[in-house]
Amino acid sequence: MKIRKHVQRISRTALTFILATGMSGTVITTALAAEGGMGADAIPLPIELSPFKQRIPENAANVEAGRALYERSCIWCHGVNGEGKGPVAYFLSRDTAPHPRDFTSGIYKFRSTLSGEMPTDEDLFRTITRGIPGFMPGFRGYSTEDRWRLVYYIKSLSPDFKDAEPELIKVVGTPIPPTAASVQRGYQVYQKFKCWECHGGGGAGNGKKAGTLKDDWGFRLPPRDLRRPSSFKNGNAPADLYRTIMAGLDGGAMPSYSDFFEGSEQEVWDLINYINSLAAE
Amino acid sequence: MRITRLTRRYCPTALLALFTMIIAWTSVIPEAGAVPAFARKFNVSCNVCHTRPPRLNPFGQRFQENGYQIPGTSDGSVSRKRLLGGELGGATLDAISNYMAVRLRADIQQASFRDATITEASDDIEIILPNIVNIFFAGTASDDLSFFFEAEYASQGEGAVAFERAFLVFDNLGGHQVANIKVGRFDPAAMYSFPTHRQQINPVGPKAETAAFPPPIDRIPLLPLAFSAKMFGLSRGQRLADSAAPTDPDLLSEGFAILPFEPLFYNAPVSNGISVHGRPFGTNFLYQVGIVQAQTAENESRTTFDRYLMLRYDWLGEYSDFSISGFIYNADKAAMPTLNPAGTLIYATDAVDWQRYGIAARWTSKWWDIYGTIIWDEIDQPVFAMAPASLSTWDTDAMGISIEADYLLNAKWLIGVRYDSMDAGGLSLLPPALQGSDPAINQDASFIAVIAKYYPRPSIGLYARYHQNLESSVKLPTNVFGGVEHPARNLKSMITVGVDMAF
Ligand code: HEC
Ligand code: HEC
Repeated sequence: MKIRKHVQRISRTALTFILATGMSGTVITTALAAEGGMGADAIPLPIELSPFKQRIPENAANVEAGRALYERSCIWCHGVNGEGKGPVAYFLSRDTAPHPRDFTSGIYKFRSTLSGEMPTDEDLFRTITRGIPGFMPGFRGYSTEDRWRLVYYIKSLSPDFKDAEPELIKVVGTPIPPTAASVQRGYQVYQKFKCWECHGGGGAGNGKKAGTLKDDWGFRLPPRDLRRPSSFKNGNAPADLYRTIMAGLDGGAMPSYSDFFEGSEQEVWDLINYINSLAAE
Repeated sequence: MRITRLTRRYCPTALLALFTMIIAWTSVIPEAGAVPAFARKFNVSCNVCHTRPPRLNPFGQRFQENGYQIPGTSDGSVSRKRLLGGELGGATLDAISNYMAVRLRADIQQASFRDATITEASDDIEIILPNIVNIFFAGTASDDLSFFFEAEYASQGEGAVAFERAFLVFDNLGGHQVANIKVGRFDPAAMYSFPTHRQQINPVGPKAETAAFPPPIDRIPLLPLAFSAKMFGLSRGQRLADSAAPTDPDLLSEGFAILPFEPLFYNAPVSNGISVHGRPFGTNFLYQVGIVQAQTAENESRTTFDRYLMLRYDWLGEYSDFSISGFIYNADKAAMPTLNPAGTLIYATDAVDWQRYGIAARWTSKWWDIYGTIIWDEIDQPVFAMAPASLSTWDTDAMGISIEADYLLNAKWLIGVRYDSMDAGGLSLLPPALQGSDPAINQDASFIAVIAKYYPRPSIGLYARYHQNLESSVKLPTNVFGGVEHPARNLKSMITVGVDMAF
């Protein structure tokens, strides 16, 4: 049940870049943010050094080269055919989510695109670079070119990527200072959208729905403990949290809130300040 | 070393108190604090590399083969965390925790013997705290240069399985996974389908005396019997005896007797040497060759190099990895056939060469982890110069099997069962003049063990296990093994509860 929206791409590249690098507006934390520095302590670099500038062509040779890398590094979890049926899958999570992604399903969590859309190439690149806290190591050891090759190979596993022109989430504003007033406003938003139903009043991941959630593959999926930003799979910089909240994590139980914030996107930055205020690390 | 002996009367309370303490303690350790070095470094759960610690899953094996770098990459320097005072090369505490880890094992054991009057073979409960502590310092110094240092403190008995590893690995020489060279003190079997180190059912060391001959064995060690020496009647030779006290067999030096139950050669806990391994033809086929230092059992002191070759093949399937491995290990002049009639040591004319061959298979599928190995040992026929020693009977072949199946019931519970058996070799019958009639000295041994393990955190395992001797019901005349119960029979069963954790 994938909702695919084909909308004109307006200044897609610019927006993609901002979202994919974990940058937003004036916060220029470029390459290193994508390299996995978790936002706050990323070192600002001139934009020219962005790895995304060094994209290599998406052609058969690079897909094939990507497959060879996949067989060295990814096959253990994502399996021989990319269906997520690697030998490590059940040892990693015996009876809960997540299981390694099934790349033939076309369902992706860590996107800068609307719910139901495919991720951008940069989204995949970022995931491969940073890894997924708890479940997948980052692959910074691969050169930029090799990481693009991996992206192209993974895309080749799902026909949904063919001709996909995913619509990006709308980014309005930039992170705002975490003043008491902003945190207070964020708290109101958290209450209004009932984040606590799953994440619990104090963000500990113990809301009343917490025990009932499952992912699209039928595995029990506990909501995140919002007090532990280092466990955020999608990153914990403000721009990352913006993506999480607006795009949702498809295939899991974390909904997308872009429709709810339509016209009041500024409030997301308050909500982010509230989430950050919960951190106990 | 703290060995506390409690009599049976006090034990339930003590047991309960201890376990309440351990459980209370493990539940207050913060989650993030309970993740060892590599997991910290890559910010992932232990289960990315382990089926359940200490066993490696296929990803963990490749991580190990690649010198603690993410498989496929040479990320030795890339993944290094920020170092404060970078120009000075200083490390922060944060960085050190990415290299250092501590593993702690503690046990409460109760054994039951046929003859509990033998010195150390007591039915009393033993609380051994801590049993084994390992401190690791391991990681990558730069791309493709890895190091591993492990200091181990083992408090249990003499001859306890104790190892300290210290080695460097130069990775990916000549191309990705073409050759990785390991130099130092390491465990040769690390990449075998049934590795010596990583057991769900941790080895319990022997209680034995290797400075006497024949070695009094109060308690047989509980470890995969396939790995053990299996040969009775062998020593490390006259030179070692002379170095202590030439004439008095009670004053031999430590390590003089080769325990038929100690792990040896390829399956030794550690050896000093050089090994080269790689997967040059894609990801399925693995080779490993090595040479390790050894002392001959000949009269003059001489260092030789034992040689080994191991080949392994992996098949990947849906949710599964199946591997088979085979190795050959050659040790020249490795052991001296030795007799000790009436307090005088008699040696064979020559030290014997020793060959070891093994095959192993492992199948991980979904939540199953099944592995087994058969290891064959072969020594030269011992030759003694004179009667009556020359009339002794020897088996030059021996064989051992160990098979284990582990099953993950859910995220936190694992159950396992292991079967071990050993078809012993070496000295079989003493010369007739020296009361050498049946039954044979080299009695076979076989055990079955079951374990239930609970992981409150991925890096903390609490377990209860039980070992049953499958041969102990067979009664032997007591004169067969130095006038006491034969060690392969004497230990009837053992129950152990303990903790194995890393942080
Ligand atoms: C140790 C196991 C493991 C390895 C190795 C691994 N992954 Fe993953 N990967 C996972 C798991 C688990 C998930 C799902 C996480 C979730 O759904 O929360 C995942 C998800 C992904 C996703 C989907 C992200 C999204 O937006 O939904 C991509 C892309 C991905 N992996 C790429 C790779 C590539 C490329 C490699 C090899 C270079 C690789 N993975 C190696 C475990 C692994
Ligand atoms: C229906 C239950 C549910 C609701 C309502 C919900 N979440 Fe979540 N949330 C989840 C689950 C489940 C996860 C973990 C998803 C996963 O790992 O795939 C999650 C994850 C997260 C994460 C961490 C993402 C990451 O990178 O790991 C954040 C942040 C978050 N939610 C914020 C919110 C906020 C803010 C709201 C309210 C606007 C909210 N959630 C509402 C279920 C919910």
